[in-house]
Amino acid sequence: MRKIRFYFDKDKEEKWLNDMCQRGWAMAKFFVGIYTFKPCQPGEYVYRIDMPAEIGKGKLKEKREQYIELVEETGAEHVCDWFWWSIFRKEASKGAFELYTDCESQLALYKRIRKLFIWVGCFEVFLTANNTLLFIKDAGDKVDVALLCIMYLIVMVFIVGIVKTTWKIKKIKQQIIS
Amino acid sequence: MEKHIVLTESMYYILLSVLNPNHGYGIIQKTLEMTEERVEIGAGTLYGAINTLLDKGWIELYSEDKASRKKKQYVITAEGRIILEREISRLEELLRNGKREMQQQEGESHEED
Repeated sequence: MRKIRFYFDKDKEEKWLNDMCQRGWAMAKFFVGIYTFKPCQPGEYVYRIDMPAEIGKGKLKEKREQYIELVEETGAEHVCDWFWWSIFRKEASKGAFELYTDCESQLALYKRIRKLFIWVGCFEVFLTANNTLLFIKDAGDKVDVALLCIMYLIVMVFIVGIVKTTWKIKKIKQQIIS
Repeated sequence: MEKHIVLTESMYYILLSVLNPNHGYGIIQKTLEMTEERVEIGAGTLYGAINTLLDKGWIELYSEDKASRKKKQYVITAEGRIILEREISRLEELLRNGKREMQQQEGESHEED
């Protein structure tokens, strides 16, 4: 079974994957918003979405290989990667599955996610501004209005993503202090 | 070197787990063993902590045998050992003060009875 979804919140996406698994569908593949599911026992796996490496820091591929090896040693399974993201799952019968077990590392994770949103968001803003200028110059000859609207929508989505992630960071910080 | 470093629980147990050379999964297991299964360090937490500790120079790579696909092992450095010793004396002080103050207070409330 295939489903199309666009998530900009990894916690919501994770919850959806786990809900799907409860209904007997185990996520197996991901490609630009298309999730492929395979039948499984209801609740067979626990899914975790992760962003282990920081954008612009070190070799992504090498670090990822090391990290996947470590996660697999804990009895989990690597499902797939998507740019900076990785999805893992562990058979529920093998016990609890958490990748980040203290506030400090959860804080670091959400800071990495925010950094990614900011970088990709800035790139998106640049592209959108560029296309807007082209649109004004050529009065809509070469630039499709629909495309431009989608680009503005994506910029908005990134802004919402940054704000939401900042909110999560704030909440974790409060936990550390108290 | 900073004077008062407070280690997180994960960092503390990771350092204790690499007094002898140990690999990633070994650290998770050693910590489980020491804490009687109370503290289970997640892979993400451990991976981040290992990189931080390597950057700080408190642990170092012990062996990397690629031919036999042996796991990367880490071991505490001299600096890491100093940090750990300081943290242990800080924790001892916490414990000592806590016990003394609690006992004193209990003694006082008994006298009042």
